[in-house]
Amino acid sequence: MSLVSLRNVELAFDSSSGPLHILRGVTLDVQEGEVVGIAGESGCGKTTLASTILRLQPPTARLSGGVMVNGVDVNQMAWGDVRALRWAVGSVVFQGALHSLNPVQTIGQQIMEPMLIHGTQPSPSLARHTAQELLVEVGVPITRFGAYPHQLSGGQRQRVVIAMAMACRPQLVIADEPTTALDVMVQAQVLEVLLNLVRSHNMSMLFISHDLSVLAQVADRIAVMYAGRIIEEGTTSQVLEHPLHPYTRALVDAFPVIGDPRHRFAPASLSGEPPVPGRYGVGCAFAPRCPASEDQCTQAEPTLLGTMDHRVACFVTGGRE
Amino acid sequence: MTTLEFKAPSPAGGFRDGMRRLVRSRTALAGALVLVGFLVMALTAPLLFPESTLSVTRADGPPFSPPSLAYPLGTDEDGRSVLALVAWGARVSLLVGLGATAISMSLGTAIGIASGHYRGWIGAALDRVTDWFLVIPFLPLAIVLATVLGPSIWTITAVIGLTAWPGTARLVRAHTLSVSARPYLERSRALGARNAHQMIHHILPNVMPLVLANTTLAISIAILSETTLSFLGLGDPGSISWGSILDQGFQAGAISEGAWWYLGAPGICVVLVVLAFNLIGRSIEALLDPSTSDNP
Repeated sequence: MSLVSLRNVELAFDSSSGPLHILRGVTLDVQEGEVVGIAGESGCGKTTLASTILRLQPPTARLSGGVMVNGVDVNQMAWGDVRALRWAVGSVVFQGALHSLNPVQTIGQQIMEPMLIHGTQPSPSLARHTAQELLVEVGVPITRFGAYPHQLSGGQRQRVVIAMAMACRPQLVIADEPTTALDVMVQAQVLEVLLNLVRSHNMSMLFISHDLSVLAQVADRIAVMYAGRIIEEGTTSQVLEHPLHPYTRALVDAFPVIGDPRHRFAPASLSGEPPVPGRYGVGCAFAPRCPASEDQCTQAEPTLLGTMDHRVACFVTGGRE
Repeated sequence: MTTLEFKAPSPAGGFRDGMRRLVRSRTALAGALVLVGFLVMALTAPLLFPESTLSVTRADGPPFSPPSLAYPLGTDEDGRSVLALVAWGARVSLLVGLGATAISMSLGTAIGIASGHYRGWIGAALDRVTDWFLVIPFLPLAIVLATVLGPSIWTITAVIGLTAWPGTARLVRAHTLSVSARPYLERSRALGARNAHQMIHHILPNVMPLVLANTTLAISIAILSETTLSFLGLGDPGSISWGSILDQGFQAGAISEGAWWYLGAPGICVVLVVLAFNLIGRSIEALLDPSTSDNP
């Protein structure tokens, strides 16, 4: 049984001009101890998808399909069970570390908070002790335990947010673009800390990023999203080395090979704009920008086909397995 | 190698540190000195001016005598020392001011946070109740309540407290809405925190500076309201407050007698206390924000 299994998840918002379909039938599994990367550009539904796992989607959202954590449907759970699920089973590393920390509480208090809420540590002094250990584990000096968020550097804050996510030793960590706001050096350090903790405690991780080079470092499997659907999914090596979908190809090609003059003179790019989130017409959503599109692409939407190691939703390239 | 000296971060309960900084700020110190002066005066009034000096029948001074050595603030129409009246009046005025503020601030903060945090029908209902209290004119409601409940210090405290909260609730609600939209509240929801936990541990500390700054304004308004209601004759006739001294002086013809000390002394006391609270309030607001506390 997989830890998280999303089955044909659809999510829509009602708006004055008709429903906005943000997720359109997403099926994804996260096994125990596995790191799954989700790639895709802004507005394709990555964060919304992750939010459904802990039932954190906005209350106005209409959701259908199955969101199973440890075999139980999250949307059928009683409210108390949902609260127990949050952080104790699945925790989140948020994107903006400064903003996801309360400015008027010390970081020590904030790391202790989930332990005290969920009672994973029997006493406040033990929680304090554990919090201090966590701080050391993520590489923040213990003297900063009583510091306020604004007194830390950006990298330290992100480390604190990671310590917080580990506080209850969850089975799953959802990392939502955890390194986006950091410079490349700090990004590498923070990634290492996060990955070491996840691996050493045999946790699963859902890692959301628009940066394929980051995903290449951390993920066992990668799912590429476009316009609210998964268009390609497979092991990291398969997806990055043999991308099938034209969109994935464009993403992979966007990485310059250092020293290769061909890349310098012909930067890979995609023509056109990504579709407006929630408003997708008939046919493959990528067809208007696709260099390989055919007539059938504008008439029906391709489904995800292939082996467990590599699946793709494309009429043109998908057939040639 | 150059080492940068970082000051150790102040611990969460840096009370002594906070007091030190409060004292260092000139405006706060001035406000605090004035307040302490009035508090001492209020507390020692029974020792300095025995209750018998307030009795009209036992008053020994000449009526409407200007300030002199024997009567530093002059006397009233019955020959009582205005200084004694003002000292006794401080007790009631400060008590009513602080009591009414405690009521209105607790109500306003609780209702404001709840109406901002619960977005559904609970928030809407609380918001309508706030609106309703907001549009009722203060004086008529206070007059009606004071008449119905009967004049006493406690009535007047309750009346001011129960009519002064909607403004605070509005302010706190607006700030709660802005705090609720911040990612650390999303984090606390993702933590599995209950609503009560979110409100007490995340929203309240973030709206607290606003509440405290507003408290000092509210104390001023409460003292002024007490003065107003007493001046209109709705206070406790048996107790002396700054408002009732003004009322009495006005009715005894202090203006036509030219007894400036009679109306001036309680009036200036009201102004000084209000000023002192405002001065302290501004400093407390700056003090409570941890991001401004590193560099005093």
